[in-house]
Amino acid sequence: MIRYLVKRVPSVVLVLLATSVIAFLLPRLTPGDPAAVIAGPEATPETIAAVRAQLGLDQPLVSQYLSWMGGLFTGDLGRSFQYGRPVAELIATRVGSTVELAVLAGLFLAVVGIGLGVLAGSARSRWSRALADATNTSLLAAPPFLVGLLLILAFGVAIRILPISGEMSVLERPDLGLQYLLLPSLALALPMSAGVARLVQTSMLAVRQEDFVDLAVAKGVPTRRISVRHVLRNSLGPAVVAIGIRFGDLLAGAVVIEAIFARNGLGQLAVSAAQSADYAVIQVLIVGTVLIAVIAQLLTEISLAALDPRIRLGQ
Amino acid sequence: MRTGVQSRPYSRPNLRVLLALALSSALTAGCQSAVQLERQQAAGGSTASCREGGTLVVASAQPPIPGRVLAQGAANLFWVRGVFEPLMSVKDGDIANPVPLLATAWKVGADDRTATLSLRQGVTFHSGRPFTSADVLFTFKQALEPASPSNDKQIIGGWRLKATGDHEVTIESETPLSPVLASVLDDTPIVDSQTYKDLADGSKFVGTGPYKVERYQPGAQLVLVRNDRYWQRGLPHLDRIENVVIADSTAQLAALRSGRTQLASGLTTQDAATVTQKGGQFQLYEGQQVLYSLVLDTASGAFAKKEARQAVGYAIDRDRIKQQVFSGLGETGGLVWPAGPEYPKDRENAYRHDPARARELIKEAGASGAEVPITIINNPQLQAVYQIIANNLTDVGLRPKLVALPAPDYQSRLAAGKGGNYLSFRGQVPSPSLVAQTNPDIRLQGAHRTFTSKEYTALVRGVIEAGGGQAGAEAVQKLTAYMLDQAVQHVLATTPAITVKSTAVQGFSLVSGGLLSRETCLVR
Amino acid sequence: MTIAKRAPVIAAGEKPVRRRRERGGAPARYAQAFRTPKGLAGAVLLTLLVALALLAPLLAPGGYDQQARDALAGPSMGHPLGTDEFGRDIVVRTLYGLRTDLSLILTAVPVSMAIGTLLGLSGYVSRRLGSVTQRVLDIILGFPGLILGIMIVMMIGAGWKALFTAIVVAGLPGFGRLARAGLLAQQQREYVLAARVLGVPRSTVMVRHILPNVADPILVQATVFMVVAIFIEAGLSIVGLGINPPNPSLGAMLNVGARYIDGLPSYVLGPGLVLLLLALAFTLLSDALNQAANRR
Repeated sequence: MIRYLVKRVPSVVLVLLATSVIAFLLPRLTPGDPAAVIAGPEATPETIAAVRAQLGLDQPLVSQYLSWMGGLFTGDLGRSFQYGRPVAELIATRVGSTVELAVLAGLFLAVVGIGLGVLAGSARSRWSRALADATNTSLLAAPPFLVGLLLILAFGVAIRILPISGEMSVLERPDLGLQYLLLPSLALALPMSAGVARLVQTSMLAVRQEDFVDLAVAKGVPTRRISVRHVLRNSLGPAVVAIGIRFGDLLAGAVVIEAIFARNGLGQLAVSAAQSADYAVIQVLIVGTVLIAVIAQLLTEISLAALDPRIRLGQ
Repeated sequence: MRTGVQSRPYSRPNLRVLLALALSSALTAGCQSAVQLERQQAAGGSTASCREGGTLVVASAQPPIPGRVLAQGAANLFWVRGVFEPLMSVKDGDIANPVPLLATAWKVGADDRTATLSLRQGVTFHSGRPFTSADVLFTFKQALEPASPSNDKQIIGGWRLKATGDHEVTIESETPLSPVLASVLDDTPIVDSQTYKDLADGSKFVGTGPYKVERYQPGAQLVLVRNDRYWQRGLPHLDRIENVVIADSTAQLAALRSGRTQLASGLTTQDAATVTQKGGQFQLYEGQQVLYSLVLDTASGAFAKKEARQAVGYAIDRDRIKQQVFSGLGETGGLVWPAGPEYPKDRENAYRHDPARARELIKEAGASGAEVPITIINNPQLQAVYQIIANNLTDVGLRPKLVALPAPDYQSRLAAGKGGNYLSFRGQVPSPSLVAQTNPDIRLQGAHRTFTSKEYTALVRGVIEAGGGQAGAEAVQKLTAYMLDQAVQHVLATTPAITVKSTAVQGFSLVSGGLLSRETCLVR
Repeated sequence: MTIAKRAPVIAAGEKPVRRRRERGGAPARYAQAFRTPKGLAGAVLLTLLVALALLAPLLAPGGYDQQARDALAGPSMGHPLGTDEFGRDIVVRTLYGLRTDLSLILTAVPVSMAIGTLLGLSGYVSRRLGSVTQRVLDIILGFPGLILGIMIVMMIGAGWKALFTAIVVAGLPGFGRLARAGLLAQQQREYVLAARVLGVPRSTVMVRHILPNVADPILVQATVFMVVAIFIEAGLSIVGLGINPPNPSLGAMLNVGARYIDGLPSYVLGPGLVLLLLALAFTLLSDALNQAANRR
């Protein structure tokens, strides 16, 4: 496995380098000037020019890029234009909120997704399968923000039992923090879990047609045992891939969920940075998420190999 | 392997029980409820009409920007006047009778070109350093720095400030002072010379105000706590003000409804109405007046001709804008001037909704069917205004096209004079002279509009030179007549910026710089 | 190369199914998909929605911007779902909003599918090209979801074109990866190797053998991505970067309507229900196609 990882290093580095160039150029290619935001809506062109010089935006692009990269290697992520603060600090104060959300949502995603999928893929009664199927289909068709709005209406306005606005760190106050986290993470996870469920269901159906299942049936293995030991174990691979891939989606989905539940996470930071042309923040966030996606992909492959003995890494 | 299989049936139910126990205890009696906690904090204990202490939670749509302390704006609305105090404060646009804060008295010379300010003694910054005239000089020097966001640079640039004592400052000006003095002083709160460079990134907040900054989380929240050494005994009333950032309007409304926040800014009038019209829990507070205008591009396109510009004036249904975008709040007289002695009342409503006449003028100008791009900043309120205007212009035979831009693009284009036809919204200032020197759609230096003419320049100068009184009123009359004829800027509505306020909040007064939180308290 | 080993793993859902029951060609299989209850329901629902969208100008000849003084009025005979903040009929706006959404996704998704598939199959021309495009797709996939959309909209300027581009770009990694996984799986097949050995031209192998086998998962992905595309439109509308007003779109209507949810719930319910039905139609179709694809 280590040989496999070492082999992947050059391509990972190349991807990250390319990403850094794109992340640097893309925001700067969009029309608009961060200095104009800082100078304010009433500013004169002279004020804007002075702010540009102060931010170093009057330097040539190549030297801006090089100084950013130089900073990255020494652990300095740069300074936000909008807040004047180190980007690392802005991210550090928000990463907890988003990770808490993503982790709980990921948990819901795995439990609900695999649960629903197994139910739909193994239920023998037509009705229970139809029910699982229908739940699944309607969840697939429901956008996360709509689910979020409905949850807000139900639990925040109609029956007020859970907080719908704001947050509290789970590490500081586990009991209160979890209450704040419950609705947003559900809103985030429920719609996505349908995708996972369907994959599990599909692959369970596919695995059922495999020869080794026929063999097991012929040998007279009890159906329940076939379901669990043969079918389920061999169908979880796609689910693991899907959850792995979707962990990135969770972070992305957090943007909208954080907005409607008034949480100050990375998603909100990214949106406000994009809307105020805070290049210094956007470029770091982009490189960071691509890095996470690359790592998630590697981990997924490794765990897949652990689940499915047919896959060997590094050959 | 074998034992593992055997032990499973026993261990599984146990785990389930454990999980159920943990969940139920977390959600019910075992732990504190976050919802209840929010209610307790907001309600407090005492029953007097205005009680001492308590925490106020305010929500703003935009994050605080400490680097913009010397400018006005929604970002710092709720916190900045709690920390940084100006020499005086103008309430309700009454520039003749400002509220003294760090200045105790002022005298304007007979020629209206000099002023002497007496500063308050015994005031200290949060760092413990005493406040003197040197701090006033320092602050105004900072406001003039090239990168400073102050919108009064043009005025302050024409001033000579001198410290004529430890607690006395004199100002000499080239133009009349009385129409601008109080407002400019109000706009420019005193900052600490020793720590000002650390204010831009929010690492140090040192002012003289009734509150100190306890915690600043950039882009997320700013927490103020009572300054026990505030110069005025008995103030402030509150213990804490928590300024949280909630950008999404649906989330802002949810935060109000659930009792988490007691004040909210950045909502549209219509959004606000959804909480203020139901029950008695929230009120709409009308703050600073805001001028919504459509400014036309005279350099190119359909509006190079005066007739076509005038046609727009007749095409727009201002009343519907007022009703449907601003919930009936505000005025539609169509003038850029603030209420006051110089306001040319007889020039109001020069353009009334008259589509037939507009169509005629459009034909006359040969602009029928012309495409007219309109630049707006991407926000719900301006999108709403645009939708009505677009509907009106289509109705009279033009083809409006929306150019909706995010702030960085909109603001840089306008500042460069490349906004084309644009919708603007500007905070109203209390005197015509201030309007003529600070409003980017009207001022001469750094103007955002494309229109310019010798006549216009002379008339605007006239307003600035005339000062107040009869001369001022006449100058405003002349300029207004010229502006209405040229029809470059159509004022669509003058409407108050609104704040949603819980009825539990008292002593609430918003000046152009922001909330004067020293007087604010909670009831019950 | 490791990449060759890795790619099929990514598309593990499309693992080569061993049992093949050849029963007619692809068209026959798809026809069969529409005969299942799900397929039928999805097809009928979609046809209905498309018909409504197409007929909108006939059903509401006045257009979607008929403003009036009577704003935010409750449901009545004249306005079954009430009127919006400018006095416009919500039913009419919903119909035209559906038209906008359909016009977006029915053009953007096929374009995304075509480009994505081409990129995925580029490995057939040369291995190096294939792995380079794959890395590019990796980067797009790794991009923080909505942020990519926001950047694209800011670059192009809010409006239909920007939404179209955002949807096309967002779909590329999905289609590209599936196509590449299919390509790699098929290239190892005995019959493809045999055809190559027999000297059948590469282009013929591609058209006759590889493309038809890649088509199935890609089509399923296209129907799945239709739903994602609807959500992208809605998501961008929520951050205020959706379609330009006064043009209606379902997402933009939901975004505005959500604020009046207390006083005028029909403002959210109308477009919300249509959006759900539209997403449901594509979900049912993708289920049916998926089953048909697996049955072979």
